[in-house]
Amino acid sequence: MNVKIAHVSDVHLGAWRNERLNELGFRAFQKTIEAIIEEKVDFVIISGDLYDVSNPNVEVVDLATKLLKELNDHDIAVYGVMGSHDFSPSNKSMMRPLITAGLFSDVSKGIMTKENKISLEFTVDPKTKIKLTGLRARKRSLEIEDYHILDRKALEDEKGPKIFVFHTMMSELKPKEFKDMISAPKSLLPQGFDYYAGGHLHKLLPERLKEKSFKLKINQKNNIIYPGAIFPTDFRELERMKSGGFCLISGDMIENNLTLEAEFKPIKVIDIENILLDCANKSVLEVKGSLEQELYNRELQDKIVTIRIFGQLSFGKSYEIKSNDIIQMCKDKGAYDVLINKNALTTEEYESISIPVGKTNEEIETALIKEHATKVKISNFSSLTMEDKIHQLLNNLGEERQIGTKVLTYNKDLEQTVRNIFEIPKSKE
Amino acid sequence: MPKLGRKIGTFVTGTSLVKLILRQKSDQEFELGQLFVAGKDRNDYSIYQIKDLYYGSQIPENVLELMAGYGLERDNSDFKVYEPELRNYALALARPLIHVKGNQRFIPKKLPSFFSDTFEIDDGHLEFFKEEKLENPLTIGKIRSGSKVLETEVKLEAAQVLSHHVLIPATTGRGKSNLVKTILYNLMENEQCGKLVFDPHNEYYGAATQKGLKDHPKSLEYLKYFTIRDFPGKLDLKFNFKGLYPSHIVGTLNFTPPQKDALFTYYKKYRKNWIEKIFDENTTTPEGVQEVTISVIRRKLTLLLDVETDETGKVVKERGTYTLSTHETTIDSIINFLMEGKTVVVDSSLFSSSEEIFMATIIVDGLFKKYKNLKYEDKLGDKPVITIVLEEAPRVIGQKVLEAGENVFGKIAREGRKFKIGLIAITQLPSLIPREILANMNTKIILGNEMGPERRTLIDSSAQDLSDDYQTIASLDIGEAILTSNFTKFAIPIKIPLFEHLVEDKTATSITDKKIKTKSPGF
Repeated sequence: MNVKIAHVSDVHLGAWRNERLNELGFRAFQKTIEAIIEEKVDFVIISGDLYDVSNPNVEVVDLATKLLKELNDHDIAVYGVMGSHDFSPSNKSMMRPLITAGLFSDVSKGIMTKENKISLEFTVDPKTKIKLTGLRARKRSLEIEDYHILDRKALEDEKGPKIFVFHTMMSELKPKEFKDMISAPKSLLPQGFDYYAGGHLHKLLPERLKEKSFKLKINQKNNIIYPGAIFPTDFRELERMKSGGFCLISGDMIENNLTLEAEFKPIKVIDIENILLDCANKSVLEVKGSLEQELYNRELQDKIVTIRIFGQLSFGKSYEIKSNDIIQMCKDKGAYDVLINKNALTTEEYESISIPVGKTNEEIETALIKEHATKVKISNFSSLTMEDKIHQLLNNLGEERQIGTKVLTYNKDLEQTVRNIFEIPKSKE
Repeated sequence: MPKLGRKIGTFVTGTSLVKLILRQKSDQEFELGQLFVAGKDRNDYSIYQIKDLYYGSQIPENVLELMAGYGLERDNSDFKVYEPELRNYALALARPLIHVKGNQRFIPKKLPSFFSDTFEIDDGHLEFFKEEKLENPLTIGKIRSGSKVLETEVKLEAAQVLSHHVLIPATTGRGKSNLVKTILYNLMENEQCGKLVFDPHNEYYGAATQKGLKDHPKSLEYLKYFTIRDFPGKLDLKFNFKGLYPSHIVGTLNFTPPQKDALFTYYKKYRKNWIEKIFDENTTTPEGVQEVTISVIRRKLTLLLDVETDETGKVVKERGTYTLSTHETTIDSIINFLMEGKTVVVDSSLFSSSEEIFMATIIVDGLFKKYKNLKYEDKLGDKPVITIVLEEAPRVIGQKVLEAGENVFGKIAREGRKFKIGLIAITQLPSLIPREILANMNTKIILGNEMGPERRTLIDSSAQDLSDDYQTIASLDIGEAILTSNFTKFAIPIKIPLFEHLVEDKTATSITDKKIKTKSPGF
C-alpha cells in the first residue's frame, strides 16, 4: 500500500502587524493547501503553531477554517499538536473550534496517571491505519518537563506503523544560528517510531532537503524532520529564510512496515530583497548617499525590501535617517512593502547600549528576564523559577480589565494573582 | 569564667613553638591528628594538633625492661608498679594551629605557659567556622579530631576557591571519587559556579544500582549528561566537524612541522570547512603543501575522527563522535549550561585516553575563548566561575606534556583565575605536575597516600606548613583528609561524608517540601 503524508509546521497565521505581510502569510498557507490537495496525500500533519497566538482575530480563524474545510472536502484528514504560540493552558485556544468541527485532530491526547506519568493515546488514521500521537508545546518550551514524565514504555511497545508529532527543538539538531534556543535532549523522544514530525524551528531540517529533487530516505538515523515555517514570521526570517515550504513524506507500507522518504516542497509567494548597510564611521549624509546608491542599483518591483541599518554613525543622529523617506524611495521603485530595522544603529553622541543584533522582541524580552532573574532573590526561588514567575507576572499585567469589571474587583484580582505567583500569603488586616 | 572543657592533659615542655610536649591524663587516649585546646577561657584560647605520640616513664628504661621480663617469664608474678598513673604515661608532640581571641583569629606566636592544662576540643571552640558569612558556600566535610568527627562543617567561599584551582591527590581506594561526588552534589544548586566534569569511569552521574549526581532532587533542572550511551534524558556526545580547529588536533596527535603547517594552511583557506576539504580528493592542494603530506594527514584524521571515506574523499560513514551534518551546537550548549551554573558531566568512559583528551580540549578551548572574550568586553563580572573536574590531571598538565607544547589546560592552570576558570585536578602522582602549577593550586584536599615522594611533593607545595604531617598523610583512612588552602587560616583535618548518606539525607528533607507535579495543562 502506498502512503503519502504532508508535513506542515509553523504556519503562524496572523503573525504580522503589517496587514500586507499578513496577507502574504495567508497566501502561503493557501498555496500550501492547494499543493497538498494536488499531491493527493492521505493525511496532513501540522506540528504546531497554526496560529501565531491562541486567540487570533476572526479573519485568521475564518481563513484557517475555510482552508482546513477544503482538505476535509477532499477527504484529507488533518492531525497535529498545538504549538508554543497557539496552545492555551486554560483550554481557550481558538484551535478548539477546529477540533470540535472535526477539521483538526489533536493527537496530543492522554491522561495524567496516579503515578504522575503522562500516558498518551494513539489516534489511528482510518485510511492508512497509521497510528499518531504526540506532545503539545507550551510557552518557553515548558513542555520539556512533560517529556521527563512520559510513559515511554507504553508508547515504545505499541506495535504497527506510528508517527510522533511534537513542537520542541531537539538540542542535538539545533543549527548554529539557533544556539540560544531552549531545547531538549533528543533522547527524551520515545523510541521506535517510524517518523518524528517536528515543529517549532523555523528552518528546514535536515538542510539537505533544500537541494533540488533530493529525497531523504527515512531510517533510524534520519527520522526527525522539521519542515520549518511556510512563510517568514519576522524581520530576521525575511532576511534568512526568504521563503518556506512543507515536506512530502511518501512510501510503502507492507505488513505494517513503513518505508518512507521525504522531499521538500517550497512555497514561494513573493521575492525578497535584503539590504544591509554598515554605517560605521559614516555621517548621516554619507549613509543617505550609500542607501540611495544601493536602491538605485537594485530591482525592487513587487518585492519585499528589508533594510538593516547598523553601526555607529560618526556624525548626526539616527533619527535623521528618516524611515518614511526610505520607504517612499522603495515604493517609487515598485516595492510591495518595505521593512527597516535600525535597532543596532548608534550614534557617538549617546552612550552605547547593547542590543543583540537580529533578535526578535520576544527573544530580547526573554533574555532580559533571564538576566534579571539571577539578580533577584525572593524566598528560595531558583533563577529558573524566578524567570517563570516574572513571565507569569508580565502576562498577567498584560491582561486588560474586561468591560463590566469594576476597578476595585480588577485591582483585588490582580493583587491575588501577584500573591499567588510569588506565593505571598494574604496579610492579616 | 566559662570553662574550656574536659581536661585531657598538661603541657610539659617543648623544643620549639611547633614542637610542644604534653602529658596525657591517665584516663585519656591520645590519637595522632587529635585536636585539643589550651588557653585562658572560651574567648582566648589556641587550638593544637597532636603530630606524634610516644611513651614517658619515671622508671629508668632498664628497670622497665626488667619489669616486662617478669611479666613474660614468671607464671605467677604479682609484680605491681606503685601509683602507675603517675609513673607511666603517654606523651604527645603537638603544634599550635590557630589562636582565637574574641572574634579574631591569629597565627600562634606565643608558647603556652608552663604546666598549662589542655582540654578536649568541642564544637563550641569552632564557632568561628559558623560565624563566617559566606555568599556562596562550598561544603567539603566535617572537622575531624583524630578519628572523631565533630559536627562543625567546613565551608569555603566556592567562587574564590574554585577559580584558584583545587588539587585532589589520592591513591586508589582512599575515597577520591566519594569526595568529588560530594563536592559536586553540594554545589549542584549553586548557580554562581558552572561545573564541567570529565568522567573517564562513568562514576559521577550514577546508574540504576549506583547512587550518583542524578539522585540529587534538583538534578532534572541542574544536571546535564553528555554520553554516547542510550537512555532517556541524556544528550548526545557528538561534535560537528565545523567546531574543530587545527590547534585541537595538533595537541592530540603527533605531527611533523610540515604537517602542522598544512593543517593551518587548510584552515586559513577554508575556515569552517577545512576538514571536509582535507578529505575531499578533488580539492586542489594549497600552495606549499605536498600531496604526500596531505595523504598522511588524511589517514591520521580518518583514525582520530573515526570516519570512513569513499574514493573521492567524501565522508560516507561517521562511526564515532564527529559528524558533518548535525550537532552544530554541542559546544555552545555545554558552554551555555555552564554559564547558567549547571553541572555538565561528559561521560568519556567509552573512549581511549587520547580520544578523551581530544574531546576535552575541544570543549575547554571553546569555553576558555568565550570567557576570554567576555573579559575583554568587560562582561565577565556577573558570570559564574567555571570549575573543570579532570581525572589523571598529569595527562594534560604534567611536566613532560607541557614541555612538548602548551595546551589549554596548561593555560588555565597558569592564568585561568583571571578568566574565572579553575581546575579540580585529581591525581595519584602530583609529583608529575610542575612546581609552579602545584603552587598555583591554592587549595589541596589531601587524602591518604602511602607513596613517600608524592607526600613530600604535597608538603612542599602546600599553603600551610605540613612538614610534620608526612606520617599523618600515609595514615589517613578512607574519607579522612587534610584541607590546606590559602583561604583557610590553618590546615584543617576533615572527614568527608559518605556520598550515599548525603543523598539519603537530602532526599529525606526534599520530600517534605517538594511539590509533586500532579497536573500538566492539557492532561
